[in-house]
Amino acid sequence: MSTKDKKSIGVMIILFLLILLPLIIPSEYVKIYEDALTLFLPTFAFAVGFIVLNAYIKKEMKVLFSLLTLAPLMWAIAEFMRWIINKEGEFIAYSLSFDLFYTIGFMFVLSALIYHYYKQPEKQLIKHTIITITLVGAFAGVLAYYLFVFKSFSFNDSTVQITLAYFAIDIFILLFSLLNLELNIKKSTFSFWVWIVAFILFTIVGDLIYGIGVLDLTYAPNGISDILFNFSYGCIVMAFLFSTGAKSAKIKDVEERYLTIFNYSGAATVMADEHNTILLANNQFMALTNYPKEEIIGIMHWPDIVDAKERKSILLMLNRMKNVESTKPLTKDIKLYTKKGNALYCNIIFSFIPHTDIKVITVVDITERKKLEVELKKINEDLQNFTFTVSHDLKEPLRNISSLATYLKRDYEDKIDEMGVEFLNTLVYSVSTMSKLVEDLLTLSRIGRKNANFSFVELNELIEEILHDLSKTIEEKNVVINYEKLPKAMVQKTWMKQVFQNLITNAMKFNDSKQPTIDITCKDFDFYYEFIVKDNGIGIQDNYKERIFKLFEQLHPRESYGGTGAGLAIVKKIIKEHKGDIWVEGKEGEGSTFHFTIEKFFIGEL
Amino acid sequence: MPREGILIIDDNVTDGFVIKRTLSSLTHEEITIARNGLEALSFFSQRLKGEEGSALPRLITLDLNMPKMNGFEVLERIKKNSQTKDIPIIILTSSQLSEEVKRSYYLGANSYIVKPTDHDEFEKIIGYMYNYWFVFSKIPLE
Repeated sequence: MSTKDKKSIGVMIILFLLILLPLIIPSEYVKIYEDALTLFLPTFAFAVGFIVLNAYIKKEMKVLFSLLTLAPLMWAIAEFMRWIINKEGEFIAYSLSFDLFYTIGFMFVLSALIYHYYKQPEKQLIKHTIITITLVGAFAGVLAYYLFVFKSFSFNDSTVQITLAYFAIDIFILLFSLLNLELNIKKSTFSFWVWIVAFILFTIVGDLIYGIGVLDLTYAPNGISDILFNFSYGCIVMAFLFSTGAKSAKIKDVEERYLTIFNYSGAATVMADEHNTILLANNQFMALTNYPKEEIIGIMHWPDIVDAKERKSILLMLNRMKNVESTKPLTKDIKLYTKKGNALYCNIIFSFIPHTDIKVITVVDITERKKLEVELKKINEDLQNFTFTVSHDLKEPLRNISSLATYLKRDYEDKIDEMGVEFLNTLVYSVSTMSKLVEDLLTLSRIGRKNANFSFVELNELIEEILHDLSKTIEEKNVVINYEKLPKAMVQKTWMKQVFQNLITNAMKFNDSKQPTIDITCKDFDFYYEFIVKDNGIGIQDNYKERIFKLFEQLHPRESYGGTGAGLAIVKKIIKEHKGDIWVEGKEGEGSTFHFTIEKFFIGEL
Repeated sequence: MPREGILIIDDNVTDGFVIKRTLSSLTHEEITIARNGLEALSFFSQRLKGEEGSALPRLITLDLNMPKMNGFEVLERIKKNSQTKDIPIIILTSSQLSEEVKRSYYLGANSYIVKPTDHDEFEKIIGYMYNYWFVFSKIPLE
């Protein structure tokens, strides 16, 4: 038993003692159990007791408890009136009024029960039906009770009917309470069941005594039933207290557990509303940003600590995300500033809570990783520059060899024999092949150099440009190219043109059919576009589907289709620069389908 | 001062030879080769002294990447001198970096041509260049 249980039992014992108060009143002032005053006093004591208890009740139970407090208060008023009637002897004039207060008291009990019931988060259909029926029953009981009183104008004439109505009310309230409580409680506490058993016991015994009292008017302890009713009423209130108490304790436990997870999670997490104001932040977030809680909750706009250069693009991206139905979180690497002004590189994950503007934002410090990334990038850049310089510098001696071999052939052809001339021809051819390789290497090394300008490009216009450039080949090979309405996407124009051009050229080149057909389509996904270039060409063997994207990889001898084997490596590198992916599908002999994706909200390197 | 001949400024012996040979097959203009920037400048200072019979070139082809003094410096000096600034200068180089193209025109180059890797292409381009400047275009003759 928890201390809270003990406390409430203590309160209840005091209340019961208050009910027994009339017992200690000297008999010369009141006739014990027969005088209405003895009924008024315990009821009133009850009401006062609950009013006092009200002050210690938790916020969420206030309404329920207030309603339950009003019931004994009404009954106390009724008993008080009865006492006056008995004293004054003006029975008829007051009987209607005190019965009215009785009824109102019942109404409050019912309202409390209904209120409690409709606050329940879960409503099972069968229970809901039973509860509705008992509710109607209880109301009917109250109505019957009052109608009988109203009709008879006399308490004595229709006591049997009134008693029956009373029974009905009690039983229905009992049933309703039990069902109502049962719904609320999964794992009942010991105290709860003690109160429920006491409630049932007091009600049944009280009703029995009352019934006997009605049937046999000479039976003296009539008032005892009222005291028992008060007890039973007290018990149901206590049961309520414990049931909701038990549930609240459980919820509190779970809530606390979640809060602990939230607060002590290694990832800094905040919850923000539609104005980007932070509603909730965990310990890690405060530790990461150095801001105290008071400067965050309800005050801080999270974009304020994001690097100014990146703020706009992030907000733009989030704004676009609003219209996208997706539960997939969005992640982004951005720069944040702590209170002290230190820059932090963070990976931010935005999770959208469906049907609200509320976002849960997780921030992971990746400064160390970023440092390594920057280093790696530098190494990559150096390597790229190296490739660029080497391939650039190779061009000059290549040209020289080409020139000299040509002159040698031209000037000394008559002095060299046939074999020598053949050697020179091969030399010139080899040099020209090597020139092409170097040229492709140069192209490849140029992709990913810093001066990439991303902009929104109408891809349809891009395709039209390519078709214009390739119009001669298209006509010669009788190629049909179908393309649908393509989006306006954020791309590096010259590179993207190269992608489509290489894919279209390949589709035409590796195609032996009478009418080569190429279909270009696009699928619009939440975060990316997927482009599909499908042809009816020679297709690709399964085991080559990865290899074709490697540099200088050729599946066919150079003599049959030409080219250096750098085209798809260039395409792949460009796609990677657009944070996308490329792969190929299709069977050998049945054409190939190239798929590639580009990230939608990619705005180049931040 | 009279204008005569073509000056090739190129550190690459073979390239210089190819340019000279190709131009010689097209014109009787005197063709001089300077191996680097310094050689080119001494050529000019000699000619500018105004000795008997000396003339300034009608056209200059200039390589950019050269030892001792690079093409940009040569270009800047020629274009700054009031006596030589009206001589058309054709940049003929392997480099195709956009910043180099931009810088060349900024310093006053009259054309920028990238040397192709293939010899036949190279010959063709030199032919085009000659035709453009000597057949279609008018250039200062003195």
